[in-house]
Amino acid sequence: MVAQIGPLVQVGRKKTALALHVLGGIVGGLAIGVLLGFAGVLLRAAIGDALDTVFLIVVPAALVYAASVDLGLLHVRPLTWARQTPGDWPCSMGHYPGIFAWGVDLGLGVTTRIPYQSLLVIPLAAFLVGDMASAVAITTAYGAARALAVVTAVTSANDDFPAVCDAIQDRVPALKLLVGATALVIAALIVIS
Amino acid sequence: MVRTVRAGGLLALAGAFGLVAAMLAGNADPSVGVPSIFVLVSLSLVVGLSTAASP
Repeated sequence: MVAQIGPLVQVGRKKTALALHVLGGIVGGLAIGVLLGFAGVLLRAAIGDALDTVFLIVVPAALVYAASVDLGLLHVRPLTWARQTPGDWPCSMGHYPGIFAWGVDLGLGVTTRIPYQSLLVIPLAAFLVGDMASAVAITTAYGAARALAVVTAVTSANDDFPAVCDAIQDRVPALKLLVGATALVIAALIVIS
Repeated sequence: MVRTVRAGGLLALAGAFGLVAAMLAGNADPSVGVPSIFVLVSLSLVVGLSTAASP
């Protein structure tokens, strides 16, 4: 995304483009949060407080599984899909709408390639929490953070976007360890809280 | 130096957003407990901030 959005933001107003990307990330996270939150509320209406027990078992278990894959302890084929955010959206939709739509697509979290297995626990937790506001908070935080990460990379690139992409790729193994370790800690915190 | 300040500012913005999201969850009074939602919001921030290069 950095390699795609980086050169584009140089064409028009950079701050507007990046702000629209962040707004898109927030909208994407918010949208999937509302959907999953609504589904969770329906599930809670169906099975009642048993959903809390399901949450306290399934979410930590999923976090441990995902963390084991991200940390390289469990050698299974990661769950992901090949779809990537379409690079032609700024051409087909227009410059700013395309950049906004990229943010929405990435903010949804589950419509593009899954870089970390721990990411899959976010929509799962948003669904099983069975509470609309909590689901929205969980997924919107992800959408906003992902868009802000792109903004951080683009603004610190000094127009050398390939170099930034290379630097990020070099850090992917370390980031996987960070995400995996965080997932393990959070699994423990959910169990003991 | 400027790059570090910019990156720090944006990360601070992400943290502020996470705080707002956590406050939103705090008002929600989820039956699984507010601490669980706080830590899941933290996970969302960590995973989101770690995925800049992914398309």
